[in-house]
Amino acid sequence: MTSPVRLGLLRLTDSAPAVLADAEGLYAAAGLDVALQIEPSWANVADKLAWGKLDAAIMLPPLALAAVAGLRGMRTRLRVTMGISQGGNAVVVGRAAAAALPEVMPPDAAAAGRALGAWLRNQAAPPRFAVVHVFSTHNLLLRHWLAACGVDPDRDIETVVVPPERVVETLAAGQIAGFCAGAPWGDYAAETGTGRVVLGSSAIRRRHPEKCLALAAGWAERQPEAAKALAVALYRAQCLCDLPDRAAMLAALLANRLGLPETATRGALPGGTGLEQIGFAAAARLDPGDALWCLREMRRWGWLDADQDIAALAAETYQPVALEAWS
Amino acid sequence: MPGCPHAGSGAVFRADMPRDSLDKLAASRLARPLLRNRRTTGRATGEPLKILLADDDAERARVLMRLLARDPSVQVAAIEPGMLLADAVAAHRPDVVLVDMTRPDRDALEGLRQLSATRPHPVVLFVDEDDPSFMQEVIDAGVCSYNVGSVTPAEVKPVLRAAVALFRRHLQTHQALTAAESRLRERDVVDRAKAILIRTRKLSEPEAYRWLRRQAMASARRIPEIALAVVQAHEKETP
Repeated sequence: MTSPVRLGLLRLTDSAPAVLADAEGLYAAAGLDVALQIEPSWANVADKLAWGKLDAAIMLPPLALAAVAGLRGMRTRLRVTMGISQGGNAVVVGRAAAAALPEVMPPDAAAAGRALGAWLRNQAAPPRFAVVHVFSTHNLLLRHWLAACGVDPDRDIETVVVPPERVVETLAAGQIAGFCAGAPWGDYAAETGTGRVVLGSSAIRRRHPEKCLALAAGWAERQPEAAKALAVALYRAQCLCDLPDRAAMLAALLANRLGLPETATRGALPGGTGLEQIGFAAAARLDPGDALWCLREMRRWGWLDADQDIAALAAETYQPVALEAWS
Repeated sequence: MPGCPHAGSGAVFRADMPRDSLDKLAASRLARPLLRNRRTTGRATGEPLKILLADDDAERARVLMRLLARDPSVQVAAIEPGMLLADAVAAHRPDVVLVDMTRPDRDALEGLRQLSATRPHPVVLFVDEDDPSFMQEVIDAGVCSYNVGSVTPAEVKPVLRAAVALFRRHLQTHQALTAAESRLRERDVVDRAKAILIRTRKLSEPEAYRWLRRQAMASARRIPEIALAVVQAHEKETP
């Protein structure tokens, strides 16, 4: 291989397999030279994949689909070849809502949603909720949950986008009433007394896929062997990330390499005591039905034209890699 | 060396280097294409093109604002610190938002219409699909542009081109400084020079340091520069 594979990621707990594969030499073991590129925003990841500045990235599935559909302004050729993680997001509210909610939140999503909905509809102006990107799993899950509980996510709340690493400070500053964000930020808000966790995202949709591996289609076509080797290395890393024995070490690694708060990061890893734990290897094998779920939700909110062929879009984007380990 | 920001870019430290070269750039060729193109495309309504600039690098933002403000058909405002990007767009109602790509809150501009049914204007990333090399330059420079509402690419491109040139120059200057600094740091050059002096001139460590300082004062240069010269001279003698 001539030049290193440029793999983009954000500072999040579920970037763990990409970071661990680097630390453990799993890329090299798969015959790959991989350069990790930590990006400040999802928009950067999408743009760099589109314009050949990244070969691959840990990505939000709805954003990959939106980029392929041209919802960001230009149709981008991307391929999602494997899942990276499942679960791990949290819905958190600030002090105003927290004080109005029952002392013990009902654990099931429907009852928790009704309790929050009652508070939401009592406010003079729609309270602001932050998600990490419009085309994020977080936004789709939050809207899905609220709508199922009789809340209109277009009228009863106002949605804004705040970068994950800033949601806690934005909540503390009173600029938002709550958020839905990935680990470690939900547990971190609780740990710092900034917010109260209302629900884990796995209660909204069990084992929901969270991050995926997206490849620039041009790169994947030129380097099919490298594309497969990348999946092999990441899958091996995923298996290691699932081991509770290694979680403390992994949390320290992520704190060091990505600058994440270590305790909250540990809480979201397997065996942790946080709100919910992220699953890795179980997410690896893609279910094309998940792409359809995302696309149906996006169409439901009017983001996709009703006549858009979502099955074709899903098939174009989701092209699962076939690994022997999965057969 | 003085007055020439690029001379000997390896070992010269000048705190005013970015300001210097950015200002020079703003004063020279950058303004021209901007003005020319804006004149030919001018808004049909006769209203100025309103630009919102989101750049946390105060120095670069200052120069870019000054550069853009030269064009009378352009109105520029900078985002207030701590303000959410979406709020700034709602408050300023710009036609174009120029964003430093290192800002994590750039995601806030994506799909504003999808985020809120009450926001009438779509906000769309500027992309020139017919000019991929320009798009590559844009991303390499680390600045991007979002159109708010109906703005034509012909209006935006000269503005973005000016920003790209400025960001690129800033990046180059910054990289030159970082390279020089890290080279000195990596080699721990002062310590190495002292070690050489201790060995070759039979000095104690404080004497070696005083020697470096004396040379620096005599030649009005900084100690690391002198140290680098010592190390380089020594390397030449003992390859």
